[in-house]
Amino acid sequence: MRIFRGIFKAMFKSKLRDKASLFWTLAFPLMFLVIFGLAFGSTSTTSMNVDSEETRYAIFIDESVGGSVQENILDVSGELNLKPLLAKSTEDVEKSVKEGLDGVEFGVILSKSNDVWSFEGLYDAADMNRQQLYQSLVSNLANAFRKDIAEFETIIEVEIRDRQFTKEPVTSIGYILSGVIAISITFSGLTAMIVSFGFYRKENIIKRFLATPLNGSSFLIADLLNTMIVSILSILLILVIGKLMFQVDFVMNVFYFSITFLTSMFLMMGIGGMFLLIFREPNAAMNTANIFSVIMMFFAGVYFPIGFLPNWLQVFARLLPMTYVAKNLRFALGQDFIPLSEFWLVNIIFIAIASVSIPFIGRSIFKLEKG
Amino acid sequence: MKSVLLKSFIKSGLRERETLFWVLLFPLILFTIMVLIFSNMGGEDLSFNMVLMDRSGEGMGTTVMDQVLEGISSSTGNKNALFNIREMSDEQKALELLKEQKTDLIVTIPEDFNQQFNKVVFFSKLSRIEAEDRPTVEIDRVAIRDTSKMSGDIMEQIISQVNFEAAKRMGIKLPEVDMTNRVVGQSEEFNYADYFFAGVLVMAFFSTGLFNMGINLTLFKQRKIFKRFSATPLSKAQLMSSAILSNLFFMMIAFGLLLIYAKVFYSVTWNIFRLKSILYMLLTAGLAISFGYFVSAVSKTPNSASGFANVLFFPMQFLGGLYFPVFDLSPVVLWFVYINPITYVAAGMRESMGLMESPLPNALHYVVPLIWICGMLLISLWRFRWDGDA
Repeated sequence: MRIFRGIFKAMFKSKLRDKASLFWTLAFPLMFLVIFGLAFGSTSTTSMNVDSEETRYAIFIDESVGGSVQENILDVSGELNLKPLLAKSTEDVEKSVKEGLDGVEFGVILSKSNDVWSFEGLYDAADMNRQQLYQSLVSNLANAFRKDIAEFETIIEVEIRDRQFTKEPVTSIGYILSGVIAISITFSGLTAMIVSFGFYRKENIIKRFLATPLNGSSFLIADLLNTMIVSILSILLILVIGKLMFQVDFVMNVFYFSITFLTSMFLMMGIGGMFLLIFREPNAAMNTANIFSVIMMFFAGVYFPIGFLPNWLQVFARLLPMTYVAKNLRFALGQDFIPLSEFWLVNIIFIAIASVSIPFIGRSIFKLEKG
Repeated sequence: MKSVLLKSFIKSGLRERETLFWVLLFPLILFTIMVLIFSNMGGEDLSFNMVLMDRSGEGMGTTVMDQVLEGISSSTGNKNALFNIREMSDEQKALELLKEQKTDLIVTIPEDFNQQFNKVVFFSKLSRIEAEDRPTVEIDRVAIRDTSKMSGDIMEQIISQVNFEAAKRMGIKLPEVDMTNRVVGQSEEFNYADYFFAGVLVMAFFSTGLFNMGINLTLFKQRKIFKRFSATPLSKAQLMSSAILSNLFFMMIAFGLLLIYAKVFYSVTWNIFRLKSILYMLLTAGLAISFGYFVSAVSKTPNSASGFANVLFFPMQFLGGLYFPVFDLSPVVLWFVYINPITYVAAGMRESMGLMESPLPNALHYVVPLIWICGMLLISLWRFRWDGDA
């Protein structure tokens, strides 16, 4: 046990000294959380705000309109949770939109010619991923205005019920944070075996270790335990910073979270190990692991919702393990719901793959070294 | 002698698979990913899963709704249909599907829908009908899920159009409204491929500077390769200029590859003969080289250089407007956007491409990056130790 503790301690110190690995395990998820949390936290990745505040827009009402249209605009804007800021000219609207003056997000120029009302929506070129949303807001505004000035009573009403299937209300930042934890686990797991078996092997550390009376499993267990501990520290840090900076309160189911953490970590370690077995050269394996992580980060529904991807990419996204890690984590952290059967099925598949691959990789590497 | 050294630096870089991957191949992969994702944000390939619970039976209102739903449903063989509609009668089961993320929304047409629809059609002209007595379509969705929220909004808009159509048929005169859209702040037609081309190009240059140059120089220091060179007639200036030129060579290759790829597969409109565009490319290259030099000057080992380069580059690229707009971000991070030199070269490059106007004063596009280049070079000259002993 003393010897095991010694190996464990040495590996832990070595992990803390490995700056590149520390970046991916600790700094990267934290930076991701802070940058994306501050950038999109209140509006989510696609600017669809759940706890919505008023959306400000600039409007110029042309002289051709006449009458008391301003009041109608104020009325319908209020109904739609929009705040109009009156501009003196079309140039003013353009400037406000381009520069986002007074928090203006889009602009409207209202005019009238031959009894036809004209709504011209103005959008900032730099806001390309929100233009769809703003166009739909201008369309809603035009429709509501049309009804309001004609005093037209809607024929078919729409009642929208926003359902909540979680114990506590969820926020977009909580949703992002669950994804960040998924990224953290993925990066830690994927690189773990490449570092310990790849780089240690390259530097002949394993060979020297095998010359001692210790068996390979102590080395493997010490390494797995180390990765787990560093990853747990990283997750704790993410949770603390999430709480301090963004006031995120998770309703965490500790049991489900632990299961998800363990199975995901083992699976990712297995995948990283497979890269190492395939490429042999640790740098090549590390590069493959990094590119695999980047692809998963973009397509696994952490940053962009899977539903917004083209259909063929949605199929691809469903083949990526991180998609399920993120889903299971959101469930375990009370951010969304998935059926328990799906939760367990994913975990069983993960652990089944890991329990075959990790010992296989370990044995193969030690065999290579002994050979 | 210098050209031999330059050739050897280039050959050594070309032999390194890691360099080839991150500097040459990764920008192509990232560019493809970004264009694929954002091009679909317009909705061309969007489709949603919807559960329909129609309890209304037969009647005029149901006929109207059936016609509407037929037009947007994939079951009619329309490949571009927005909704995959599944009919159900059990509310609990439908809610289970929504809960389990197997459907994006539930649309319910209640039992009294036809009765109330008739009431509105026949009696609304005689007396005012209260909102609660009008036919109502109920939509259940989960607002935190982006696709669910969006599908609910779209359905609401569709029904709003149905209202106008129905009013027209009932002879109600509604004012005509014409709606147009205009994007401000762009000189030519906007194209996601062009937008990401500029972003990924800056990323590729910085990857070369920070990771290729920064890490390699650190490695040379650590392995005392520079020390060995000092025993030869080569001067330090020759050594450094060869290292810089070899990295510029890789940047040019990365640019060429990305340009050909983006032009062939994504019809990027970049005009390489615009003087301003060339200036911004040179400025970006200068920035990337000076940052790479800085990383090598302050790092003792390639490993720490890699960690440090990542810590620098991650916020710089994401808060520099390479992949999404940054000028309307929270003030908590906006200060970083404005001190970040990448913000200026990316905005300037896009403006020079005629893609979108930059909100920054023109002079700052050059001044801020130049200040950074000078600052980084000065610190690096002061801190860089040729023998590796910091």
